[in-house]
Amino acid sequence: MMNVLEADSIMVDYGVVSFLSDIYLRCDQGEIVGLLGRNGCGKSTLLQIIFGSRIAAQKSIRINGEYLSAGYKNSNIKFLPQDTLIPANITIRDAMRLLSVERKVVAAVFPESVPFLEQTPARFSGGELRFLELVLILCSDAKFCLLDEPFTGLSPVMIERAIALMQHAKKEKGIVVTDHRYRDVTQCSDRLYYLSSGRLRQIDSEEQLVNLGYKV
Amino acid sequence: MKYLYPYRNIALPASAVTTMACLTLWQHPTLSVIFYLIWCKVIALIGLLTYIHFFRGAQIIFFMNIGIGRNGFYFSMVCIDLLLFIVSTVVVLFIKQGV
Repeated sequence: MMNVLEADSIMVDYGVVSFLSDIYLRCDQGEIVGLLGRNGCGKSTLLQIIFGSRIAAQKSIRINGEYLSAGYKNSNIKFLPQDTLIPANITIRDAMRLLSVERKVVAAVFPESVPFLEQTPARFSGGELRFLELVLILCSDAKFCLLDEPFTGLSPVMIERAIALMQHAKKEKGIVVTDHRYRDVTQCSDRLYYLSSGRLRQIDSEEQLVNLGYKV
Repeated sequence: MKYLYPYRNIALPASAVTTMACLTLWQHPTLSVIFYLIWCKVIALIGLLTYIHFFRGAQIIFFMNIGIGRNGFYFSMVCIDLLLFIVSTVVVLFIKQGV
């Protein structure tokens, strides 16, 4: 059975200002959904609400039509935040075990990290750690992965590897990705959404991004 | 076992407070001192949790990814720390009475 993640009826307001109000996001198993938008438009907030780490005044998050009170419960959804994921006092090996990722999987995808799996995140450079965190999230047993700026700090060759990994991982799960490297997002996405003024709309071509004022 | 990981955040300072409380109790094993130490422990724990909330709050996303929610994150730290404190003080009192 194909899994489907849907998010709608999301309402977030700061006082009198409505921040997110007209949202319908759908992600099917087997696809990568790109989420684009200007700085501060609410992309990260939307992902956090779907994951359950941020409270919304109103929301409806469903997997296969079944309502979820919080996405992170029952390991249905994993989330890679903008900031560092793995706490400084936990070794990579423990993080792998807690996220149910086998050593051989990490060794196959990111062999450079193998000698340092017993170390804490401090051993890794920013880009290495970001890629390793991406590997752990994508290789976990979650049905859906939410990736908030996964390409931050990655060199071009690592971005290519990250995209290849996402393409491989999407066979078994759905992926929602947002990043300001829009070329990479459009390259890897099967479907694109654009978020502005609290509205989420599906876009079909890069020309629309120009018309919407996202790029020149 | 995964609930032990949040406690790592406060393990060192919390253990130090518990150790000091045990040493004090060893020297003055009276009821008034026990009440005083309990209050000290609670205040220290509140301080540590406040620090975690404001300066280590981002790591909660990791614990959510392994199925531990916000309440579970804080509750596990409080439970484990208080359990260790109670066990330590009971052991100290037990040994002291034996002596």
